[in-house]
Amino acid sequence: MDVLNVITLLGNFLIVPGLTYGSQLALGALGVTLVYGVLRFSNFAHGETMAFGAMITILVTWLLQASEISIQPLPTALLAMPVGIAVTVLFTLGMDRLVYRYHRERKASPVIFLIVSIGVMFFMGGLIRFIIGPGDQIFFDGTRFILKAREFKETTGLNEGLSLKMTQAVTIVTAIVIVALLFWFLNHTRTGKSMRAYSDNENLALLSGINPNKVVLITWVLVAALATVAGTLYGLDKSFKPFVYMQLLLPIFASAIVGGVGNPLGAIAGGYIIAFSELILTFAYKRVVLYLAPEGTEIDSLVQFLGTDYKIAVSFIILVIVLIIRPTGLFRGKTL
Amino acid sequence: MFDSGFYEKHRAPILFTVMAGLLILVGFIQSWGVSLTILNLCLISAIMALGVNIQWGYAGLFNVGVMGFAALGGLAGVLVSMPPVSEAWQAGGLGILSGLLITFGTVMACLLVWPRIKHINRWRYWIVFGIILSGYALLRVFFDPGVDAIESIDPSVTGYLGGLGLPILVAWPVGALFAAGVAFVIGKIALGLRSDYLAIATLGISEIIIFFIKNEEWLTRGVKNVNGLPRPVPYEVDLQQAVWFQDLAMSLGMPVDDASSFSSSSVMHCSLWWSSRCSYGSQKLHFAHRGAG
Repeated sequence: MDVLNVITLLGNFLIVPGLTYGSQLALGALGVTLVYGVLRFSNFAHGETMAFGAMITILVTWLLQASEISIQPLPTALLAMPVGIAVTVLFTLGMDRLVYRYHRERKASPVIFLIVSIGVMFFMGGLIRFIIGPGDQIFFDGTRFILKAREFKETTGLNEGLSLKMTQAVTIVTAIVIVALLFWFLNHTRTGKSMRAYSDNENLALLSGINPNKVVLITWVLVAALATVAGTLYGLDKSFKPFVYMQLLLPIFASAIVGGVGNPLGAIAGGYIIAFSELILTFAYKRVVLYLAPEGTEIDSLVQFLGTDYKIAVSFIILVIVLIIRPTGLFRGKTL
Repeated sequence: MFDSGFYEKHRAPILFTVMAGLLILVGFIQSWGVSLTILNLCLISAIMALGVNIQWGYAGLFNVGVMGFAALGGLAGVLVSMPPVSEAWQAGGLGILSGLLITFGTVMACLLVWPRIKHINRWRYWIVFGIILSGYALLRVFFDPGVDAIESIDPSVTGYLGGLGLPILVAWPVGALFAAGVAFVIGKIALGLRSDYLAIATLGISEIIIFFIKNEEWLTRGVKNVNGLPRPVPYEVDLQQAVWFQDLAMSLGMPVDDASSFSSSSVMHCSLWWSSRCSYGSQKLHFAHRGAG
């Protein structure tokens, strides 16, 4: 019984939130890794691209909510997401045309691209705060819980409850679908294969007649779509606040680098590694210990590895350790 | 007169004149206090920009973690110049000191063990991990009670260890030493990597530093702020009450409070002048090296 309670407790506070947060990070890291693999720079503007996509989705969601269109019990934002993706794709393509293409044609070094992307980041951040404001926006509707903690307790008779929020389920399912589609695209379509070839060896790909402009275009389309999905899912699950996306950038970079930057499989693994280590290291194990310890034991402390304040710092620490021990990442990155 | 050749030739004086004009405009339209505050911020940013200029420009290292280093300078100011809180030292000083000793011991143990286990391919990282983990567990046992004891002492005013009570000027070289120590560690980690990894690593490490300073209240009161750091120049309030200063302000025809806020920005100005001289010197050196090469 105690063991079952412990499993439920960990499931409720570690596994389900970890899977959700990990899926969001993995989708974000996939975008960073695609830019790195094909365009060969670290895109600091990715967090703001996520925020931009989420913002457009929110605006469309409000429009749909006002005209009373919904897809109960699912959140309306899912219906609005395609529009968000389309607008974000147009925006990123415009950014590429106005900013990045100039430097690409001059064959600028990766650092120049990085600095340029920081500029784009500040521009987009300002634009987002200008349009939707810096505050919290709530755009979630539909059913809140699929599985309620109290119902779970009543049916199983356990002390601990397991709850599953609609947003968590939606996040995990959407992430699986998107990742499956992306891998199918990269491995089984002509365009996807040409992208991988271009990422592996640019000159060889050009010699075999691959159109570089098309590869760059497809990459930005994919990146914008991934960013919008990741941003919207994160906003649905927590809440939309433009500043949070800038803070999300570093865990995303950490995920991409831990998995091996430029490697999509690594980005997904990295996302889950970062998410679970953040949660495992900052979770208070007091109740777990109380269940497992002999009856009548009393503990004063929360039994925590690190305070909850250090949640974001965990991803940096992992990043630094990986950079020291294995700079290429777990999956030996660098090509798609 | 305003063709592009003239502008190119006299760009710096023109831009500085425009800036001075704007500051004077603010002085007349709003107040001289606001104008001086803006000037002060400009000078602080200028000092930071000079540092960044040296590192990004001359060395070609794209370090994005400047704010972490700036935070270390602030930390040095608190640790050196604030008066010590003796109750806090009595309550938790032993815990903190033993914590520091344990951290030091753990690092030394790792450094000593590493050359001996380097050749073991499989287990070397696990051994180091084990040492760090046991060191951390030991640290928590001694450290946490000390921290709790310190933070519970008069939390609205102190709740931290305080500093050494030395003059603030001592804090400047100490801050530089702190930053140099951290820079050494960052360099060890990231200088061998590609340039954009350096950017991400420095950003990450500076965020860790800022997180640490924000959350470790026993050290710097975290986000509760340490107020009233000593200054190398007199406080405005003290100046306004000094007879010689009131006379001086009178003879200059300035209001006393405006004149008093001038003192802190004049210090900034001196240090800016000094660091720009240094930067200029190193620039000359840089070109001399280039010429020689």
